[in-house]
Amino acid sequence: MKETRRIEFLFEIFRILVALAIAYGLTLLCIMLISDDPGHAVYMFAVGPFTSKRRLGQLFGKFIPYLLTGTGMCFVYASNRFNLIGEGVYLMSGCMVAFFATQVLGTGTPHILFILVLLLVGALTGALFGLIPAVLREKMKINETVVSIMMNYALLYLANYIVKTKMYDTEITYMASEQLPMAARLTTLVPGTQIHTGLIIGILAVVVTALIFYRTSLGYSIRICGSNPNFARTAGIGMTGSLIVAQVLGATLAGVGGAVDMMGIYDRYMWTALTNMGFDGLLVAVLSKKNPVFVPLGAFLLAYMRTGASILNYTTEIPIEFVDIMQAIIILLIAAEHFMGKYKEKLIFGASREKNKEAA
Amino acid sequence: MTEVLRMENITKIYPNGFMANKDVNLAINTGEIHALVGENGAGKTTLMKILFGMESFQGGRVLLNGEDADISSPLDAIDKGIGMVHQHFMQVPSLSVAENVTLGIEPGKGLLFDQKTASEITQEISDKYQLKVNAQERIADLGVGLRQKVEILKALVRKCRILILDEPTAVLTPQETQELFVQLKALKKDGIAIIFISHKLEEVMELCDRVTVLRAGRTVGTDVIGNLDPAKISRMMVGRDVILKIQKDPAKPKDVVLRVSDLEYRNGENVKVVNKVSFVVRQGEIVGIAGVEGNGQNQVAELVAGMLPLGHGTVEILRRSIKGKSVRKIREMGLAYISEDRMLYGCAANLPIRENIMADRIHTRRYKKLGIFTDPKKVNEEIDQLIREFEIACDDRSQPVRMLSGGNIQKVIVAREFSSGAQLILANQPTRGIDVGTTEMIRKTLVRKAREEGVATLLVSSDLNEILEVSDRLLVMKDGEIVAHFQDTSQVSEDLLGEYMLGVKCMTKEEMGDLV
Amino acid sequence: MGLDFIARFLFSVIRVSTPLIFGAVAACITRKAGLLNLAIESMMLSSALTGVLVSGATQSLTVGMLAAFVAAVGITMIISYFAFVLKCDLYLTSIAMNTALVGGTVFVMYLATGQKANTSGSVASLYVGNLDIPIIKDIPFLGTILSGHNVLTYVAFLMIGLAWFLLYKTKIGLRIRSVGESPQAAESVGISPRKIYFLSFGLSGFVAALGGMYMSMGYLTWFARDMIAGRGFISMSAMNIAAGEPVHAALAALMFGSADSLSNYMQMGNFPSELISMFPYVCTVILLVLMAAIRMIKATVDKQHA
Repeated sequence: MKETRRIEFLFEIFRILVALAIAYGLTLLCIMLISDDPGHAVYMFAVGPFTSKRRLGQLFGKFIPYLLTGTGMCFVYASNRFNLIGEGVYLMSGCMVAFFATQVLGTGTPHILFILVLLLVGALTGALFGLIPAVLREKMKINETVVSIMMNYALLYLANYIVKTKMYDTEITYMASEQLPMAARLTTLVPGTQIHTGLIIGILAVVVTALIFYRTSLGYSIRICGSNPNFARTAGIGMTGSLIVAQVLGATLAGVGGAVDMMGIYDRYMWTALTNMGFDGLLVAVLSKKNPVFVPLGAFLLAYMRTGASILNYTTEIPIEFVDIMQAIIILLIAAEHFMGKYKEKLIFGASREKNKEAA
Repeated sequence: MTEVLRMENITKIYPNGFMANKDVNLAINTGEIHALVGENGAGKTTLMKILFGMESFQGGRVLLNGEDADISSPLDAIDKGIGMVHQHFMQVPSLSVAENVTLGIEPGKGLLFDQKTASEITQEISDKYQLKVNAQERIADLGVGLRQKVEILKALVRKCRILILDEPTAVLTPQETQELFVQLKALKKDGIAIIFISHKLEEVMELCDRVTVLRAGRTVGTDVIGNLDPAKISRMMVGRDVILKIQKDPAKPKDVVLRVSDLEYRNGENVKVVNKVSFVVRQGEIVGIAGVEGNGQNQVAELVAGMLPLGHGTVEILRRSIKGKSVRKIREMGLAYISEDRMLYGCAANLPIRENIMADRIHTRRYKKLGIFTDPKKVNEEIDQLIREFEIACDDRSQPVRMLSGGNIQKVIVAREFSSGAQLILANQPTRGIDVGTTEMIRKTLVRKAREEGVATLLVSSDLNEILEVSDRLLVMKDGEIVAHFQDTSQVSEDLLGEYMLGVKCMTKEEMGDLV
Repeated sequence: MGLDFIARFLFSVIRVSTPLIFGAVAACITRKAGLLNLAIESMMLSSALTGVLVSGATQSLTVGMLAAFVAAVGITMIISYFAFVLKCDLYLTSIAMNTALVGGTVFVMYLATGQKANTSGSVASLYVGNLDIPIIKDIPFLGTILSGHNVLTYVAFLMIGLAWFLLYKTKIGLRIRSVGESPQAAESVGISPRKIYFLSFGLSGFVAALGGMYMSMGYLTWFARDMIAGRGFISMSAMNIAAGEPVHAALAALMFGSADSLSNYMQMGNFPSELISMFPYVCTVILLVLMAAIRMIKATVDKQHA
């Protein structure tokens, strides 16, 4: 028995590595085919993120929001729902943070208080909008994927509207809000990089999520509902409530993610297209196999991929969008139960035969 | 009369090691109606699934018209002239009779489906065999009797020579049953061999030419109907082979814990599957509900557990009605529930043993620390204690349940339900399909809980050994009603019980005595 | 002016509803096989881009359209392989495919044209023209509404009938519906559900491809990034409201289309453009809630009567 479990565990790691290798292999092949200087392009994509302090800092700048959206999507994915509201909530929360920072709170507000209030604004924005698809799904059985995606587009335009009518900076040529006051910005931890105090919030989110998952009855309920709803009902778990709370918590974390990203990296609100953060969060959740403890690994991997792609984007002529295809391949291969399934059975079968031989 | 089918020394072992058929023999002649009878789990369905190409087998061979036949899929079986009418009709409700009958062999030119020809084919075969149906009608609008005719037509239109009927009368009214018999006899005249699976012995006596009895996966014997009577068949079916003796003192029942009055339930098709069921279970006693599967016992269990909505009738646990209460509330009122299907309702296969045992109780204050967090030390101690106590063979508490054997999964479930401190244990088929050791442990624990801790126990089981060994008082259900009540199970023989289960006998109100 | 205004409004309803009708019909075909199709978005995106690029390169509309069909059906085959052979969750597969195609189309567009926003100006792509219907166009009110649409719009209405015919009058349709309703029953007579799933997704990709082509070779004459913008999901909702009946689904698509078209008319008023852009999405959610509410009320009423 112990042997089976060890094989399963090692096999899962192996499978994820194979999925990553296939996705990377295809991407590199693609880069080599289209680039004028394939060696340089591949180098930039694979090693680029580690070649300078600034680039490594950039990687961490992406890592921080992925920690938050990733843990958020862990809640959603663990309850077996495909609610992508994190996407819309992310930018709406950034917008609300910018609004509160530039319009509501005075520049005289003390730094710590300013940050706390803005985080709260982000979290509440997430919770509020996250409640809609969750309640519609659990109370009225309306497909959560459709509602959340419709809402994502609506929230994008709503945010643009708010920027244009309430906080448009007339002194710049592009559509963006006024500048956030310095008191509203997260402190940079390592000078010359994008590593800011949001990292602490991100790590805190991972710890809190892990605690909720494995050390509270709510976490037990969410995981049981997601794993087998029939059993959850038999055991007397209140499904509607647990599943709504899970999806709302997921959206809340995405909201905090948007707020932290806004306060840490940007000086004004300027997201005029969907950020893809909801889907990125889902990738992190799939990579970490619904376990918040592994979210930092998944988030780091995605940040590394995205940083490599953006370096490639500005050092060569290869557009950043290819990463989207790569991400999809990774998700599909990791989530496909039967991908290399036969091989696994063979391994386990072989092991049990060995054991039987020893016993005989 | 020539022999059309011979199954020789068929042995079937499932991947989990369960032997469903052991050296089973069955021979069928053309133009006979051959009854295949046996208790639940005797191996009838497995044998028929093998014949119809739905299951592989390890030993023996199948001969069709004296030649070795290799049947590896239902399509193969259909090609070789075997048709099967499943207990659950294999039909598409929104399609018409003609569409259902011709599905897979649709008439028509090219891509087009020729509705008219399909209707003609259906009507023609329906007229030929006197199975009157209207080819244009939608299946969903038909009653069960007509739907069964459609199912037979499906086999006939594919020119079957051997027709398997799996408990065809279970869903029919007496009139419909009589009609079916007339039609089956007509088919028989046409030279079609019919295999008739049933629990209803009077029907077997009336309809069949020969009977083959299976018990615990083996053939007990085959005989012509002239040499048999219901009591004789019943004895062949229910004789006990392996006996797990359980020592127990007489029960000393005290206060009523569970009171069920006038319980009724209609299923999705608006058929009354539970009818005016009333009984009580007292502290310290084990009440068994016996019956052939599908006679309403499962619905009674699910109604008491709060899994089905309570319509007519009342259920009280310790004098409080469960009506409108959530499953959690009902559990808090004192119920523990071992459900019938352990993988579907009993556990979350991908989660660890710990989560599976804690599922019903992790929210209680007992496991809380610092207000909201659970106390992992306390949880782990208790889980380890239960793993030792119930001898669950596993690596440790964090092993996913799906990696355990069937018996050990059931141990995880009973460990949870037996340790919840409940006043009432509702055990629905608690030992189905698991090994002897675990079975013995579960039965002994049920008895110990009742005697030492004074727990009231309701045991629903179609395993006669279990129900006779474990229960103190015994109820028998047939067609949704209680047809017998025995105050002392130890005085009941399996022959007698079998006769009530199979409808050979039925008690009057006076004979049953006080049920509530 | 009043009547003319209404006629022009209805004309625009039909115009904006065309891709939704294609999408809704596509969704109906998989729904009848028992599967919810969340990937129409990606099918439309792939055909929209492929049609533009290939027709531009070959200067042949036929080749361009054929390539667009191949692209969309190819996407459905990838989805089917992952979902039905490798057993990846169908929802997850569809969502991943949509995201991959939103980025992937931009990537391919950039490689082909050097542009990242749209292909207008950089690709001399061909497009499908408009059609004046001889007699109808002269009827005063009806002519304004029904005549002068893009050819593909008429194809969309034709497609409703074709899908209905396919589902209800052919052997394949019978098998699709039987698998959708009762896979065991179909399997018991030798029909492989998996084959039917592949087939229905392929067919749905074929229909959705026309929707994509309409967007980039009719409604507009170029490809723009994320140009489907949730239309696949709106189509799927239209199908869902109609429980998979092609004719009803098309009506629902027209209903969603009117919300969209209404937003075009709101531009004449003082509404800010962002709120107008929001309108169709918010309307979709509100309509879904209304439909669910009606369904729930009906269920409780039925229960009381039973």
